Amino acid sequence: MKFGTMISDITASLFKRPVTEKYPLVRYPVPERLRGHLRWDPEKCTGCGLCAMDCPANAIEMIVIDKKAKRFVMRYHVDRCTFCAQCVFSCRQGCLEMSNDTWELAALNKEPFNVFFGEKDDIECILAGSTAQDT
Amino acid sequence: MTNRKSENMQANGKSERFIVPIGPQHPALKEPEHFRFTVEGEIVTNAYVRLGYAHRGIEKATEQRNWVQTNYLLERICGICSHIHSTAYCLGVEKLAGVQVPPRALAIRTLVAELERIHSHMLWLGVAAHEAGFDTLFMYSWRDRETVMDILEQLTGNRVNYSANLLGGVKYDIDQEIADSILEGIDFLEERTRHYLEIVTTDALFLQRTRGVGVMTKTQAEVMRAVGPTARASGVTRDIRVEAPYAAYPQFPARITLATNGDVEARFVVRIEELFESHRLIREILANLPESDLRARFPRRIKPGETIIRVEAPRGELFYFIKSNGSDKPERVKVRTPTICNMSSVVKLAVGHQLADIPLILAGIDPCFSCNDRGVIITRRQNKPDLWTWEQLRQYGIGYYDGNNK
Amino acid sequence: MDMDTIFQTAQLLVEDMAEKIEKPDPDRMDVYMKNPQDLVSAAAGLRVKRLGYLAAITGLDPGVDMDVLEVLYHFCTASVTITLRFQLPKKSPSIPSLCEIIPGAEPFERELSEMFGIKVIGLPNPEHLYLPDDWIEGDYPLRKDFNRGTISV
Ligand code: SF4
Ligand code: SF4
Repeated sequence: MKFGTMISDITASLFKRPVTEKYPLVRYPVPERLRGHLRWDPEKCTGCGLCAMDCPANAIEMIVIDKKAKRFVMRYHVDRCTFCAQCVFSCRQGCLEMSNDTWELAALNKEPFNVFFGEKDDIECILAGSTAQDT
Repeated sequence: MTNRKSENMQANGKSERFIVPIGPQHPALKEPEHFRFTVEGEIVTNAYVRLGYAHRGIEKATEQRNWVQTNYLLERICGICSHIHSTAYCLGVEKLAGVQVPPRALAIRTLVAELERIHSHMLWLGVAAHEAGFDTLFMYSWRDRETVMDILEQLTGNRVNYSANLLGGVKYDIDQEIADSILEGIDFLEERTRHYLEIVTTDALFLQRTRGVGVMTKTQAEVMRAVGPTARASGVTRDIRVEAPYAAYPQFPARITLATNGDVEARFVVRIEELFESHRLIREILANLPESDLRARFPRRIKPGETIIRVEAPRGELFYFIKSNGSDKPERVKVRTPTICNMSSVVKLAVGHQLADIPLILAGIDPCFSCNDRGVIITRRQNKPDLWTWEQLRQYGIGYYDGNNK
Repeated sequence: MDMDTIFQTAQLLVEDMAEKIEKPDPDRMDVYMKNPQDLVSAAAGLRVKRLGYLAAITGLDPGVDMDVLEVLYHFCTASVTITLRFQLPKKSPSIPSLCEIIPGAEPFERELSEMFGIKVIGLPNPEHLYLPDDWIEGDYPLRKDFNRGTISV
């Protein structure tokens, strides 16, 4: 039976700096494997749609404009993504990866959460189509 | 109103019996549940628990997802023991599909499971110390817990919900650099854990709150079907890692940790000693990591069949029953989590104790209400006769926010 | 007790009440029971012989077009799982309660009755365990015909 068994811890800590991270002021390096914003490489993609099928959060839509000409647009809903990396492993062509530098994704409006990957013309074509539908 | 009040007072005047309602917003545990304790003076004479506040419809929702998606859904049953849910599911589905998982993948799964056990037990140590009013221990054990969280983040990329499992294997490998930092972290944790063991077994004030409190005898534990560290603290030899080794435990056998007193102190001791066992297992796995692939090919459809898989989660035995009907979606996934077993024991143990001891007895089983409550919840009240569809619910939500913004 | 002895003892115990006995895995034994009324005596027999504790009760709905429900009682000893399987008519499913001999069965039985609408006879507290108190009667979430697009993803 003892009293004050943690006094030694407390006194030792008195002379140490706080362990709290000063995050927004100091940005610490993140681990290499951190899973952040998805990246897509259109070159290798075959438009098979496996990534969209396996995504547990329905965060990926593969929009095929022209299968033969390999014109695909990928719509990525960042706000739905759970950053599980299943899509990265489902893709047989290795087109997807998760970046470890883009992870501060909070935003005050919904715009940045709706990301289109692909050729510029293709995206414009899709956007024109969807606005026509919406209105 | 006044009438009812006086009635109450009369009733209380006669029997001196009070019902103390606690929750659903529980003052101590950060999870919703509702208890009703009948007290006579300070002594609890009856206890009642109402669950279901964190019920999210997971068992039903598995029927609408494919095998791959279900893995991530089940991983989210509980935020603390997430990996073990996913491991149980993957082992079961792999057994159903007849897929041989490479040995290295199994070893890595087991390693992550042991790291998870460390993080879960240290979290519990903090919470339970906090319930006992020992906040210094709470703060320091949680500071040290960051070490294992950092290891997990370095290994898998996430601090919680690691998503390390893939059907047919694991996602991430262990290289020398990571192995070194794990070993370094484990050395530090082992030293700290030794210190904590000394504290919980010698600190005079703390022992007054834990020694001889909430005693569950071996027979009681067997009859009430306690599982995990709660049962082992009462001397019941029940540890699935030992009884029915799964994943890589046949190659890296675990030793069972037992205590005999069955009080809250014994539960502290058992959990802390299990940490040493986890440290040992992690070192052993790292030293003898088998060389092989990480992933086996996995079919999209699984032949019809049923399987049962039992694993040892940090809180006790976790039971999965999985049925396939030959399609790409599971037909039925039944999950029996450890807390539901231990809960009935707590309700019985509470009787006869002082009300002030209840938080500690409750914390002693390491309850996890979100893993307790799975199943179905849908917005439905009797005055709203229609079920709400997903779309209606969404529209309601949008309308609600628009109205508030104006 | 090794695996074979466990299986042999269990087999002797339930043989008379069983329609057929299967061994789907080396560590599992599935006993298809003839009559739901035998549940209590079979479970009591298993308990007396120290063959496992009740690990879980699983309800199964084999499909919308089938007129039966299945209930599985899993008893575990060491690595062995003995499952007692019962088929109940979907119209009026009922099964006796195990609470008399296994007090810890209560939460499982309450879950079974609210999720599948199986009447558990002799349940000390038949209130809802997980579902809200004002959940509409006769609506059982884990049955296959409960869908109606309410939780589509
Ligand atoms: S990381 Fe997971 S949730 Fe996000 S897009 Fe990929 S599969 Fe979907
Ligand atoms: S899985 Fe890969 S190849 Fe297939 S659509 Fe997705 S990104 Fe393209």
